[in-house]
Amino acid sequence: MLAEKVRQVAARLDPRPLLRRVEWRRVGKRLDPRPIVRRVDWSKLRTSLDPRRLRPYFSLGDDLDDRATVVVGGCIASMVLGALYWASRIGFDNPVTPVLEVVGMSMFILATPLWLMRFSQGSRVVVAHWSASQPALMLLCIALMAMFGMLAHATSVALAPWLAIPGGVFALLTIVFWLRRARVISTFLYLLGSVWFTVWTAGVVWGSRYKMPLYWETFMLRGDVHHDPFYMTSMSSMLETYGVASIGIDGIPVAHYHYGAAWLFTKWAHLIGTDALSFYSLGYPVIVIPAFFAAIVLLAIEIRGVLPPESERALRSDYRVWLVLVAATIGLIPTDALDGLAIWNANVFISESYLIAVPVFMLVVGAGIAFWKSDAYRAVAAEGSEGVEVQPARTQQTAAMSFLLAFLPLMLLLLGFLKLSLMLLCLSLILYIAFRLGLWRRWSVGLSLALCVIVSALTYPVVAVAAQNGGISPFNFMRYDVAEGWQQFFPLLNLIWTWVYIAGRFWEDRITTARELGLAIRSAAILDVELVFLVALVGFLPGELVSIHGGSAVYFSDVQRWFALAFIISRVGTWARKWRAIRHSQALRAQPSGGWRDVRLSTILRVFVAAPFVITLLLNSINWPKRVVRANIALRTEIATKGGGGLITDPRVLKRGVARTTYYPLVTALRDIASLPLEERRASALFIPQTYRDYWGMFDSDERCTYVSLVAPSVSTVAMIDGMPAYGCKVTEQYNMSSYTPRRRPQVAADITSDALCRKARAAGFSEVLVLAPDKIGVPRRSRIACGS
Amino acid sequence: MAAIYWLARTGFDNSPWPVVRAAALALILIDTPYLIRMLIRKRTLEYGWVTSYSFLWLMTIAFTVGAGWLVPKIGFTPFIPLAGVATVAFLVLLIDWARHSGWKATVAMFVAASLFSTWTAGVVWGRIYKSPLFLEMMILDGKVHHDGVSLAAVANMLRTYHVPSPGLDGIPYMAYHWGTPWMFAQWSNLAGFNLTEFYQLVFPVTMIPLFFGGIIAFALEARYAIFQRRMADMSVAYSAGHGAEFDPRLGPSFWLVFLAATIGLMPITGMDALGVWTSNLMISESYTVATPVALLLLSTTIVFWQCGGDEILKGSGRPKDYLFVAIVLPAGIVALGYLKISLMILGLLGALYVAARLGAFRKWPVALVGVITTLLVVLTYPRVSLAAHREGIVPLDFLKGFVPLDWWPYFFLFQFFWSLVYVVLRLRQEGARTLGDFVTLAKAGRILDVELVILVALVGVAPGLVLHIDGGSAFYFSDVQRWLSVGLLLAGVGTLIPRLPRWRWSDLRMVAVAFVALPFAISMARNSFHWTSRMLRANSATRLALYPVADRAAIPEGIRALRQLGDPVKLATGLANAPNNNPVRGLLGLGELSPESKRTTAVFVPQSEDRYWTILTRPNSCAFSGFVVPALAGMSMIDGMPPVGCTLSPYYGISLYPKRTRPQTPEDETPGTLCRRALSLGFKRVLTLRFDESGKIDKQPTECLRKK
Repeated sequence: MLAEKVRQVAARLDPRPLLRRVEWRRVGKRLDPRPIVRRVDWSKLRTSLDPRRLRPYFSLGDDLDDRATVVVGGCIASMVLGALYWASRIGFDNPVTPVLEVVGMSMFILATPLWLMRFSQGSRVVVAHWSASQPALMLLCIALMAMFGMLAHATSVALAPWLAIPGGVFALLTIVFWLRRARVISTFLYLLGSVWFTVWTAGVVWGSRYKMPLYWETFMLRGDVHHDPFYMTSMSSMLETYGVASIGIDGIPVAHYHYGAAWLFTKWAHLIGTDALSFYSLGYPVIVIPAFFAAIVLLAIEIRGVLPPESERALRSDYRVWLVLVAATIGLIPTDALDGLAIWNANVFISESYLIAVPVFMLVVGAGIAFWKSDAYRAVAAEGSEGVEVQPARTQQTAAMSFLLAFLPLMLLLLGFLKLSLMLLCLSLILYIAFRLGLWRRWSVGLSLALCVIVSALTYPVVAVAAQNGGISPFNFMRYDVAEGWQQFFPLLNLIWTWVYIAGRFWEDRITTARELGLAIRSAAILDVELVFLVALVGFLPGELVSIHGGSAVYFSDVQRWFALAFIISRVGTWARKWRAIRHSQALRAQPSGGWRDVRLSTILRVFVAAPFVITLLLNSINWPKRVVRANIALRTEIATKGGGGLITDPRVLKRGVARTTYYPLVTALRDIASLPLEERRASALFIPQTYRDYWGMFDSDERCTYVSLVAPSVSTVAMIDGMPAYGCKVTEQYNMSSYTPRRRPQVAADITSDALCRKARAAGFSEVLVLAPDKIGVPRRSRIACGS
Repeated sequence: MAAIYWLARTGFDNSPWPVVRAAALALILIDTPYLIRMLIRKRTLEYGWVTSYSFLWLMTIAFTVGAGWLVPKIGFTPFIPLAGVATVAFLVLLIDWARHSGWKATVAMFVAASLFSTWTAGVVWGRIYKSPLFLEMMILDGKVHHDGVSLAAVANMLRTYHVPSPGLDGIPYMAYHWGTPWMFAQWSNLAGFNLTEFYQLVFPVTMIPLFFGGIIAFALEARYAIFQRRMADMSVAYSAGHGAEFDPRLGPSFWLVFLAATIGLMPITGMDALGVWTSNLMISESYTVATPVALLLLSTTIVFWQCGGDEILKGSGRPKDYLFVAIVLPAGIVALGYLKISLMILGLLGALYVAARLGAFRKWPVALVGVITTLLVVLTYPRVSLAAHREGIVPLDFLKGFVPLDWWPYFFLFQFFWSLVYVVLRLRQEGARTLGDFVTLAKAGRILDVELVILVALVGVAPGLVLHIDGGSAFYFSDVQRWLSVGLLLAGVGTLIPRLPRWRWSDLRMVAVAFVALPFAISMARNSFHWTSRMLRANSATRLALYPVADRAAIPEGIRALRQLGDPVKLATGLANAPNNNPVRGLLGLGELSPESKRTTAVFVPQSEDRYWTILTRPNSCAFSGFVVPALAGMSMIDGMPPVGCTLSPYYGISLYPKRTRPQTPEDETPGTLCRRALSLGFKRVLTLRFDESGKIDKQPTECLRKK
């Protein structure tokens, strides 16, 4: 039976019939496929573009209002982030076009899926196919943007407007339609809240040394930036230049890492014609942060879609939803305490891979729910049912097969390259659902599961860094990354949102005993609870079993926060309704006469207890932005002083100041190399002699000598030779540094002769060496050594 | 506690007698009131404030202090017979209690009390304020807290000269709450301790049980008064301990609340950040003594009121009722001022508020007592409050100084946690749901306890939020509400807090509650070990530092090393070679002089004697070096102010003396100059101390005669 099915699938997947329909043409030595394009029927197109026929599509019904709310919130976030970035750079080199472009790109990801879904929906209320669901289309838009980025890289044309303009138009349409449906006060509050929340996110993402609007200026002043972005972008640079994932500090041996995010952002950077590091500080926050929160709320909307409709209330006016969202993100206890309990907000925002992987994960789950709601799922579920002969429609079968055999494995692969933890969690979810619903017995699902496992197994060794695995170490994360004395609170408080959801659901379904719980599990009535718990448990375990370097276990354990949050948001309405009903039935609400004597003591108590948490939330929301503003002013003051003094917004003063910063000549020289033609860079390796102290001593002040090597490959996009840190510097085992051999002796004159360099370059596969060395007055000069083939 | 002290000194000069004497004094203080109460009960079932357990306890304290005060006058101490009786009484009571409670409860109580004592021992000896090895630490490197030295100095001045003074340059009166040093001096007389020993050994062994015993005694008295008031005849109910609906035993809930309130449910770092300090209540002797005394006074007042005292308002009060209102209560409040000012102020305000709420001021005798008590407090205040401590208005001073900004919003919630719990549970018990209900209950006088708790909480927190009070001492105002509300909560455990249900694994709500409670329980367990381990680590570190250098390399640091650090010979050698050994021992030897001789003698240590002036080595400790002679030798210094250039603390009575404006010159050291100074300060002899290279003291007495 299974063999027969496999044969059928193989026949369906056989490309030969398709290839027979393709016309081949010869281009140079190779054959290029040219699909046979049918002649366009313009009359049909004219008919379809008739405004009278299109009008019904340009409307947003009640069913889409919440989705539009998400889009509007996201668009506001991207605009605010763009504006803040631009405002932060006033006085420095500050073109407005890239900012507008990334805002447009963000809108493309946020708004386009809504309208694509709307168009595919037609006059129906329900989306027929999972592939036409908003989450799936959002994933498609992310992929589209990456493809445009590849195209931009290949053609050296900044293609951002091609995406930003449609994105902007769709966003504008959404906002206009959304505002027309609005009640003034709730809309105003929502918009105001969005702006406030975005300012907080801006503070978090730009309040660290990882990313900041004045990134280059900070770097050039005294090198006081974190080394992680250099690590990520060194790999993406090597991928761009040589097609190899490597950190490129002494040749380009393959590195194992989840470099998908770095690759993706580099592609997006090409869209606006900038480099990866600049994009990290501008494009990444503006595009990904709105997408992150939009994906969470979108998942909540997808979940709400399967709940009874009476529980729903317009998202924009549902203050409870937003209260939960800000409480879970900004935090109800001081930031220091959150950090102490390993609830690291900063890490969420500064880890690009995590911040992009989580929304992708959420969107995959959202698409999964759309699939589950569709006829395609029913086709799969009915497959093989005893005593029933089901013959599903071919379209449903196609939809199911594409989801099971293409979408899920592909997404796992993608998640693996974005963030390993998310791949493993997603795989766990897939396997668990298939097991719990008994779907694994269906041949199509069985095949899909096998594919998923194989894809994950093959991806894992490519993206896992062996050095990060410190071996078995019970309760490692709890012991070493939670503040001393507070370890026992970790399971309770770190997973608090998971517990809140589980408790809420138990309360909702009146599950109070183990027997009732058993019954609910057996009847699959609380599969959602099981999934939330599964993500929490599977995310919790790695850090408690294994020592994962640098606190990276948080990227496993933190996922449950966002996952549970989406589920809580989806249920808030139901819970509130039930709570009201209980209160009403118990006649707890006394008929108030309106005087102070009728103020309930329980209300006073609630206010007294809740007030510190609310105040803290407000203080937390201010702390990060305050830090950014202070850092910005301090940097401007210092640069202005170097520039001869004057206003800290005066472009001339700042320009002079920047030109006098310590690393301005070095950074300029490295960025000049990055602007060389690709062919030239591809053939070259970069060499910086150890005598160039400005470079090799860049991070000495805070004892980070081991990371200096990453700077040149990252900024210049050219691999180095003999670029290991100076002799005597303790080389870290992390960051794929163990791919190279540490220096056993200081560099000597014989090591830097043309012959010696060429030998090394040729051995590493390069035909030229670019030497960057200071002249007599310390200005770096570039020279070229041709090494032949 | 005594055993822990003794064990902590293993390997050092460790005579068991001081420890036994300290334990015996504790037994006298704890057993006597209970014994007398039992004897009274055998004669009559009537209960009244005079025969109440709490008042008997206060009287025991007063009696023992009085006995100590008489000792130098009569030249005889009744300590041995008293200790013998107390020990026998303790054994009798223990056997009787065990017989009634069963062996399981006895063993459980014994184990629990022992474990709790290890925690208290850790708290009191886990910081550098007090230590079983205090003298050894002083001898080793002088790294001891100046509080221990300065307070011992004041107590010694009280003992020798009967004047509260730091004794740095004569003995001017120091306006300070010197009640505890004075009491300690009297008890030292009674039991034969020197004051340094008293602060390090006897205070923890006697006063910490008094602190917790006082809270529990208050809880038991309040238990009848507030929560069993439905009983028609309180005076019988007290004595008989009956009542069908009343379970007199202290169940698990009682002890759970007690442990949670004392040891804490949150990690220590969290409590510290919120200004809820667990260690301060045991390192501040005055607070440790004043709190139980205040609670016992309050208990007595409650008993007075419940057992006929309210007749005063009807004009039919008995003489003993008027005695209480006119003498005992005012005297008690004023005495609290000498123990801890905060408690006097809170006590007065509490008494006035309750009297006002009960309409007692409509009766002129009570009103008169109120006015007189207020006047007495006003007169007492300047005598017990150091002028240097009155540093003016600084809004939110306590928060600014001791609570990180991020945690300010939580300050009231956590600071008032126990008060809040009590108020909520009591209002729930009374069925109050709205503000109107609250007002109605208050008007009916049914929640006077709640009002009192709210008053003490609000008034207690105010000084720290308005005034600058040095060293976080505002805590001693704001913390009082904790013990008042905990005492009341313990009193109402049986009725306020639902009984702990039987554990059922199948009940998910119970599992959830247990899951949430688990980290708090673990925190409590960790807290209970925190201070003890800190004490042991400090003990180990001191021993290790005394060991020969050659041996140290083979011994790891920390608690595990203790087993290897008990060699008496090596420790003695280490001490003998320590820089402060001879100076400290020499000064202790001076303390052996007769009281009469000490009373007429002042000690002078020239500024050139570095061996003395550098005994204390903690940062900024130069300001406190002058206290070492008064603390160890029990004699006042003359010209003992710190050297020029030393940053002086305005506190500890240092500001009573003029600051040194120029270095000491040879003229200042001449016998003539010294004698002039000594005579003007009331001394007849000057003992000039000089230290040789090994630190041995060369005493040069100078007799000073006033010219006729």
